[in-house]
Amino acid sequence: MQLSDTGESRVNGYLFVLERSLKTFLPIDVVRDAVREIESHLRERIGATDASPNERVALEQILSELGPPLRVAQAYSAERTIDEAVATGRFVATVRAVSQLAASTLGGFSSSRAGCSSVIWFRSPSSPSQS
Amino acid sequence: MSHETWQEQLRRGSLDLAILLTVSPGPRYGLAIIQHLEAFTDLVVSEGTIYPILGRLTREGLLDATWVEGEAAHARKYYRLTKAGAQRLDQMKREWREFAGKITRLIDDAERHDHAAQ
Repeated sequence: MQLSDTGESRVNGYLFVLERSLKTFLPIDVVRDAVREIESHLRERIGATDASPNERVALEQILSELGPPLRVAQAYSAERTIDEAVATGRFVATVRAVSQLAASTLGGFSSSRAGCSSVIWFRSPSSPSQS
Repeated sequence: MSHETWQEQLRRGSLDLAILLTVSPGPRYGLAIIQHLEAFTDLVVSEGTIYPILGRLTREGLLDATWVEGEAAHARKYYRLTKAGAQRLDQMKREWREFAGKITRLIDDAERHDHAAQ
Protein backbone atom coordinates (compact mmCIF):
# COMPACT_ATOMS: atom_id res chain seq x y z
CA MET A 1 0.00 0.00 0.00
CA GLN A 2 1.36 3.41 -1.00
CA LEU A 3 0.44 6.01 1.61
CA SER A 4 -1.14 9.33 0.75
CA ASP A 5 0.14 12.53 2.39
CA THR A 6 -2.56 12.13 5.04
CA GLY A 7 -1.41 8.58 5.77
CA GLU A 8 2.22 9.73 5.96
CA SER A 9 1.20 12.44 8.43
CA ARG A 10 -0.55 9.87 10.59
CA VAL A 11 2.56 7.64 10.66
CA ASN A 12 4.84 10.61 11.37
CA GLY A 13 2.49 11.76 14.13
CA TYR A 14 2.62 8.31 15.74
CA LEU A 15 6.41 8.28 15.60
CA PHE A 16 6.60 11.85 16.93
CA VAL A 17 4.55 10.97 20.02
CA LEU A 18 6.59 7.81 20.56
CA GLU A 19 9.87 9.72 20.26
CA ARG A 20 8.76 12.44 22.66
CA SER A 21 7.66 9.86 25.22
CA LEU A 22 10.85 7.83 24.96
CA LYS A 23 13.02 10.96 25.26
CA THR A 24 11.78 11.49 28.80
CA PHE A 25 13.65 8.46 30.13
CA LEU A 26 16.01 7.07 27.47
CA PRO A 27 19.32 8.38 26.06
CA ILE A 28 18.86 10.03 22.67
CA ASP A 29 20.82 7.39 20.72
CA VAL A 30 18.63 4.65 22.19
CA VAL A 31 15.51 6.67 21.34
CA ARG A 32 16.62 7.11 17.72
CA ASP A 33 17.31 3.40 17.38
CA ALA A 34 13.95 2.44 18.93
CA VAL A 35 11.99 4.87 16.74
CA ARG A 36 13.87 3.67 13.65
CA GLU A 37 12.94 0.10 14.48
CA ILE A 38 9.27 0.92 15.05
CA GLU A 39 9.21 2.90 11.79
CA SER A 40 10.79 -0.08 10.00
CA HIS A 41 8.02 -2.28 11.44
CA LEU A 42 5.33 0.13 10.24
CA ARG A 43 6.84 0.51 6.75
CA GLU A 44 7.08 -3.27 6.44
CA ARG A 45 3.46 -3.75 7.51
CA ILE A 46 2.23 -0.95 5.22
CA GLY A 47 4.25 -2.32 2.30
CA ALA A 48 2.76 -5.78 2.80
CA THR A 49 -0.82 -4.45 2.85
CA ASP A 50 -2.75 -4.51 -0.42
CA ALA A 51 -3.89 -1.16 -1.76
CA SER A 52 -7.08 -0.43 0.11
CA PRO A 53 -10.00 1.75 -0.93
CA ASN A 54 -10.03 2.93 2.64
CA GLU A 55 -6.45 3.75 3.54
CA ARG A 56 -7.40 5.21 6.89
CA VAL A 57 -9.03 1.98 8.10
CA ALA A 58 -6.11 -0.15 6.91
CA LEU A 59 -3.56 2.15 8.53
CA GLU A 60 -5.45 2.38 11.82
CA GLN A 61 -5.57 -1.43 11.91
CA ILE A 62 -1.77 -1.60 11.54
CA LEU A 63 -1.25 1.05 14.22
CA SER A 64 -3.70 -0.60 16.57
CA GLU A 65 -1.90 -3.96 16.26
CA LEU A 66 1.33 -2.18 17.12
CA GLY A 67 -0.33 -0.49 20.11
CA PRO A 68 -0.72 3.18 21.08
CA PRO A 69 2.62 5.05 21.17
CA LEU A 70 2.29 5.79 24.87
CA ARG A 71 1.79 2.11 25.65
CA VAL A 72 4.80 1.17 23.52
CA ALA A 73 6.86 3.81 25.36
CA GLN A 74 5.59 2.46 28.67
CA ALA A 75 6.75 -1.03 27.67
CA TYR A 76 10.25 0.33 26.91
CA SER A 77 10.24 2.08 30.26
CA ALA A 78 9.13 -1.06 32.11
CA GLU A 79 11.84 -3.21 30.49
CA ARG A 80 14.53 -0.63 31.31
CA THR A 81 13.41 -0.30 34.90
CA ILE A 82 13.16 -4.04 35.43
CA ASP A 83 16.66 -4.34 33.96
CA GLU A 84 17.94 -1.81 36.45
CA ALA A 85 16.12 -3.39 39.36
CA VAL A 86 17.37 -6.89 38.61
CA ALA A 87 20.92 -5.79 37.86
CA THR A 88 21.36 -3.66 40.96
CA GLY A 89 18.84 -5.19 43.33
CA ARG A 90 18.17 -1.63 44.46
CA PHE A 91 15.02 -1.13 46.46
CA VAL A 92 13.91 2.10 44.77
CA ALA A 93 14.41 0.67 41.27
CA THR A 94 12.52 -2.46 42.27
CA VAL A 95 9.58 -0.49 43.63
CA ARG A 96 9.58 1.66 40.48
CA ALA A 97 9.57 -1.47 38.28
CA VAL A 98 6.67 -2.92 40.23
CA SER A 99 4.64 0.27 40.02
CA GLN A 100 5.30 0.62 36.28
CA LEU A 101 4.22 -2.96 35.66
CA ALA A 102 1.23 -2.34 37.88
CA ALA A 103 0.26 0.62 35.73
CA SER A 104 0.67 -1.22 32.45
CA THR A 105 -0.37 -4.83 32.95
CA LEU A 106 -2.85 -6.88 34.87
CA GLY A 107 -0.06 -9.23 35.88
CA GLY A 108 1.96 -6.35 37.22
CA PHE A 109 -0.99 -5.06 39.18
CA SER A 110 -1.46 -8.43 40.77
CA SER A 111 2.26 -8.70 41.50
CA SER A 112 2.34 -5.27 43.09
CA ARG A 113 -0.37 -6.42 45.47
CA ALA A 114 1.46 -9.65 46.18
CA GLY A 115 4.79 -7.89 46.80
CA CYS A 116 8.01 -7.07 44.99
CA SER A 117 9.60 -10.49 45.28
CA SER A 118 7.05 -12.16 43.04
CA VAL A 119 7.82 -9.75 40.20
CA ILE A 120 11.56 -10.28 40.52
CA TRP A 121 11.06 -14.03 40.49
CA PHE A 122 8.70 -13.73 37.59
CA ARG A 123 11.04 -11.64 35.45
CA SER A 124 14.29 -13.36 36.23
CA PRO A 125 14.24 -16.77 37.89
CA SER A 126 18.05 -16.83 38.00
CA SER A 127 18.39 -13.40 39.57
CA PRO A 128 20.17 -13.23 42.90
CA SER A 129 17.43 -10.82 43.99
CA GLN A 130 15.06 -13.71 44.55
CA SER A 131 17.07 -15.13 47.44
CA MET B 1 -5.81 -13.76 41.39
CA SER B 2 -8.19 -13.66 38.44
CA HIS B 3 -7.85 -16.10 35.56
CA GLU B 4 -6.86 -13.21 33.24
CA THR B 5 -4.08 -12.18 35.62
CA TRP B 6 -2.76 -15.72 35.75
CA GLN B 7 -2.83 -15.95 31.95
CA GLU B 8 -0.99 -12.61 31.66
CA GLN B 9 1.71 -13.72 34.08
CA LEU B 10 2.12 -17.00 32.22
CA ARG B 11 2.38 -15.13 28.91
CA ARG B 12 4.93 -12.62 30.15
CA GLY B 13 6.97 -15.32 31.83
CA SER B 14 7.15 -17.36 28.61
CA LEU B 15 8.03 -14.56 26.17
CA ASP B 16 11.80 -14.50 26.75
CA LEU B 17 12.01 -18.23 26.08
CA ALA B 18 9.73 -17.97 23.02
CA ILE B 19 11.80 -15.12 21.53
CA LEU B 20 15.11 -16.91 22.10
CA LEU B 21 13.65 -20.05 20.51
CA THR B 22 12.45 -18.00 17.52
CA VAL B 23 15.92 -16.68 16.72
CA SER B 24 17.77 -19.90 17.56
CA PRO B 25 17.64 -21.37 14.01
CA GLY B 26 19.11 -18.15 12.56
CA PRO B 27 18.85 -14.34 12.53
CA ARG B 28 15.40 -12.76 12.18
CA TYR B 29 14.26 -9.14 12.15
CA GLY B 30 11.60 -7.75 14.50
CA LEU B 31 8.49 -8.23 12.38
CA ALA B 32 9.60 -11.74 11.33
CA ILE B 33 10.02 -12.63 15.02
CA ILE B 34 6.53 -11.31 15.77
CA GLN B 35 5.01 -13.20 12.83
CA HIS B 36 6.72 -16.43 13.92
CA LEU B 37 5.44 -16.00 17.48
CA GLU B 38 1.94 -15.26 16.16
CA ALA B 39 2.03 -18.37 13.97
CA PHE B 40 2.92 -20.68 16.86
CA THR B 41 1.55 -19.00 20.00
CA ASP B 42 -0.89 -16.47 21.45
CA LEU B 43 1.93 -14.66 23.22
CA VAL B 44 1.85 -11.45 21.16
CA VAL B 45 -0.97 -9.32 22.54
CA SER B 46 0.47 -6.03 21.30
CA GLU B 47 3.22 -6.03 18.65
CA GLY B 48 4.89 -2.90 20.03
CA THR B 49 5.68 -4.57 23.36
CA ILE B 50 7.97 -7.16 21.70
CA TYR B 51 10.60 -4.57 20.67
CA PRO B 52 11.42 -3.44 24.23
CA ILE B 53 11.90 -7.10 25.21
CA LEU B 54 14.24 -7.59 22.23
CA GLY B 55 16.14 -4.52 23.45
CA ARG B 56 16.47 -5.92 26.97
CA LEU B 57 17.61 -9.33 25.73
CA THR B 58 20.22 -7.52 23.62
CA ARG B 59 21.41 -5.46 26.61
CA GLU B 60 21.65 -8.68 28.62
CA GLY B 61 24.00 -10.04 25.93
CA LEU B 62 21.67 -12.87 24.93
CA LEU B 63 20.96 -11.39 21.49
CA ASP B 64 23.07 -9.46 19.06
CA ALA B 65 21.35 -6.81 16.92
CA THR B 66 22.49 -5.50 13.51
CA TRP B 67 20.85 -3.10 11.08
CA VAL B 68 20.79 -4.41 7.52
CA GLU B 69 20.27 -1.94 4.66
CA GLY B 70 19.30 -2.60 1.07
CA GLU B 71 17.35 -5.80 1.63
CA ALA B 72 13.99 -4.01 1.57
CA ALA B 73 12.80 -0.46 0.94
CA HIS B 74 13.72 0.28 4.56
CA ALA B 75 16.46 -0.99 6.88
CA ARG B 76 15.73 -4.03 9.03
CA LYS B 77 17.20 -4.76 12.44
CA TYR B 78 18.21 -8.40 12.66
CA TYR B 79 18.60 -10.28 15.92
CA ARG B 80 20.71 -13.38 16.38
CA LEU B 81 21.47 -15.54 19.37
CA THR B 82 24.86 -14.95 21.02
CA LYS B 83 26.91 -17.71 22.64
CA ALA B 84 25.61 -16.58 26.03
CA GLY B 85 22.09 -16.57 24.58
CA ALA B 86 22.47 -20.14 23.33
CA GLN B 87 23.67 -21.25 26.76
CA ARG B 88 20.77 -19.46 28.46
CA LEU B 89 18.34 -20.99 25.98
CA ASP B 90 19.61 -24.51 26.72
CA GLN B 91 19.16 -23.82 30.43
CA MET B 92 15.66 -22.38 29.92
CA LYS B 93 14.56 -25.29 27.73
CA ARG B 94 15.76 -27.78 30.34
CA GLU B 95 14.02 -25.93 33.15
CA TRP B 96 10.83 -25.46 31.13
CA ARG B 97 10.59 -29.18 30.30
CA GLU B 98 11.28 -30.10 33.92
CA PHE B 99 8.70 -27.60 35.18
CA ALA B 100 6.06 -28.57 32.59
CA GLY B 101 6.69 -32.28 33.28
CA LYS B 102 6.13 -31.83 37.01
CA ILE B 103 2.94 -29.80 36.54
CA THR B 104 1.67 -32.37 34.02
CA ARG B 105 2.34 -35.17 36.53
CA LEU B 106 0.42 -33.18 39.13
CA ILE B 107 -2.51 -32.71 36.73
CA ASP B 108 -2.50 -36.40 35.79
CA ASP B 109 -2.46 -37.41 39.45
CA ALA B 110 -5.34 -35.05 40.31
CA GLU B 111 -7.37 -36.33 37.37
CA ARG B 112 -6.72 -39.97 38.36
CA HIS B 113 -8.09 -39.23 41.81
CA ASP B 114 -11.08 -37.41 40.27
CA HIS B 115 -11.89 -40.41 38.08
CA ALA B 116 -11.45 -42.83 41.00
CA ALA B 117 -13.83 -40.76 43.13
CA GLN B 118 -16.56 -40.77 40.46
